[in-house]
Amino acid sequence: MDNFKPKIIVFCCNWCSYAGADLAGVSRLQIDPHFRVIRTMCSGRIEPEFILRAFESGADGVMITGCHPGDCHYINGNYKTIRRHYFMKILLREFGIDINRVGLHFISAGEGVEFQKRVNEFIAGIKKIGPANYTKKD
Amino acid sequence: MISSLSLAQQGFEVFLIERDNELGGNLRYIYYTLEGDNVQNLLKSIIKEVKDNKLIHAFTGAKIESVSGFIGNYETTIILERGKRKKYKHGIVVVATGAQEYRPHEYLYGQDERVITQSELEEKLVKSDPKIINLKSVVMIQCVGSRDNGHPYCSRRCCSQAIKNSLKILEENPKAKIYVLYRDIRTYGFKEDFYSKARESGVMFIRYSDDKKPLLQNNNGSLNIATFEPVLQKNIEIHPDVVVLSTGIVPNNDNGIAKMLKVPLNSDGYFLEAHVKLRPVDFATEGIFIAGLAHSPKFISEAICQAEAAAARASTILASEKYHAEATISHVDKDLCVGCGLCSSLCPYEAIEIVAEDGKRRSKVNEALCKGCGTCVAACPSGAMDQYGFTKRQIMSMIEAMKE
Repeated sequence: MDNFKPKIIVFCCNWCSYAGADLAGVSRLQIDPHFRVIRTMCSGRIEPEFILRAFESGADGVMITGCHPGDCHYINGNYKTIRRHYFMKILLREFGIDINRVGLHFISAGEGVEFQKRVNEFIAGIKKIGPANYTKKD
Repeated sequence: MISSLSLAQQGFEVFLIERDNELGGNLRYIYYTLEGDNVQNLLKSIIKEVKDNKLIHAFTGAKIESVSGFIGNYETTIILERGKRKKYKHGIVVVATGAQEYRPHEYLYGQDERVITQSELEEKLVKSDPKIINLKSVVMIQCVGSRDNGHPYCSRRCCSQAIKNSLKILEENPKAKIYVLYRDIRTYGFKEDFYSKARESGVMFIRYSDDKKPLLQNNNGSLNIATFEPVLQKNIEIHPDVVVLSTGIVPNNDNGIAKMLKVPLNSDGYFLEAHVKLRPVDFATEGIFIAGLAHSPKFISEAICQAEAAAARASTILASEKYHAEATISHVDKDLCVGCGLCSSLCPYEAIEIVAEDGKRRSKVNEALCKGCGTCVAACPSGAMDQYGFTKRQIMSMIEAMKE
C-alpha cells in the first residue's frame, strides 16, 4: 500500500480555483504530485458524466473546486455545482462508488495555501481508502 | 444627470428618464455640505445644463414599462406623464435610480412633532425656523435604521450629516447644547477635521452600544432620554427640546427594474456591480452601468464621481464600431435539441430563449449575451448544447488521458 500512487483529477474553474492553483505553483508550495488539473470556465460546466468517466478511466478520486459561494464570476454557477454535487453523491452510491472519492471545495484566486491544503488532504484521504479499480475490464 | 451630461458632452444622444415630476432626486433635500458648499446652486446649474443640452431628452414623471434587447441594441418602452407610451432604441443603460431616507418608527417619530430627522432639521435650519434657532438643547441619535437587523450596512453619510447640522446650529445659536448619541463616529477622510471641530465647539458625544439603546420617553409633555454613559459608567438622563434622528438610507424597491434589465441586487436591496474592485460601475451583464445611491449609500461627491465613471465606461461601448463577444460561448445542435428549456432556466444571463421553428421548440443562444460559463452544457439532457473551447469531446479526452 505504501507505493500506491493514486490518480486524482482536480476540476478547477478558470476564475477562482485555477488562479488559486496557479498561485500555489508560483508560491512554490509543495503539493502531492498525484493529481492533474482540468480547467473549465466555471465549475457549473462540470457534468456528472465527467466524474463517472474519470473513474472509468482509472481515477482514484475526483475533486471539484470552484469559487466561494457568492463569488462566482458567472453570478451563481457554483451554487449549481453544489446542487449537482448532492445529486452526484446519490448517483455514485448507486454505482457502488465510495462518495469520499469525490470532493467539493471552494478556493478563491488568492488562496494558494488553501489549494495546497485541500489537495494534500484529499490525496491523503484517497491514499487511506486505497485504489479504486473501476476501470472497464475487457 | 451627471452621467447624461457627460455622455451628451461627448456627442451621444441621451434619454433621461425621471420617475419624479422634477429633476434632482435626493439632491433637492440637501442644502449645504459639511465643507460648506451650496448644493442647491449646484443642482440649479446642473438642471439648467441638462435642459439646455439638445442631445438630452429628459422625461419627468415617466415610468419604464419594459426593456428588451442586449448590449448595443436595447429597446425601452416608457410611459409618459399622460399615459402615452413611447419606444426608444439605445445602446447602453445607466441605472441611477437612487435610494431614500429611512422613515423611522423608533423613538416616537411621527408621534411627537419634536422628534425629527436630520433632513427635516436641515430644511428648518435653512429656513431659519425660530423654533430651531432658539433651541436650548438638542439630542441627535445616530444609526437609526442603519447597522440594525433590518439594515445591517452603514449608511455612510449620517455621522457627517449630524456633525454638519450640529455645527450649523452652533453657528446660529452658540448657546445651544448638543448631545450626539453615537455607536461609532465615521467621519472618514478629511471630514475627521469637522469631527474635531465639533468636539472643540462643545458638542457632547456620548457612546451607546447596540444592546443598550437610548430610551426616549414623553414625560408629561417633556422629552426625556435615558442612556448609559460608558465613561462615567452611569445611567444619565437628558431633557432635550428636540430629538433629531440620524436616519439611514434604504434602497428603493427596484426589483422591477432589476428584473427588466436582468441585473442582480445584493442582499440589502442595492444593485450589485460586476466586481467591487475590477469593474465597479459595470454590471455582470454587458452594456448596463450603475451610478449613485442605487448602488450603495454615498456622499454627493462620490455619487458624482461614480456617475462620471459610469459615463466613461458607457462611452467605451458607444464609441466603438464593433463589439467582440466572448469566444467560449455555447451553441446548440438543432437536430438534438428537444426544447425542454432546462438550459434557459439555468442561464444566469438569460442568454438562451426557446423559439419555435418549423413547429418545433428549440433553444437559441444569444451570442452577445452569453458569457461562456457552460452551465447550460452541463445541464442539457439531450447533449445538444456544447461550449466552444470546452466541448464535451475535449474534456472527455482530457479525462481519458488518465488511462495512459
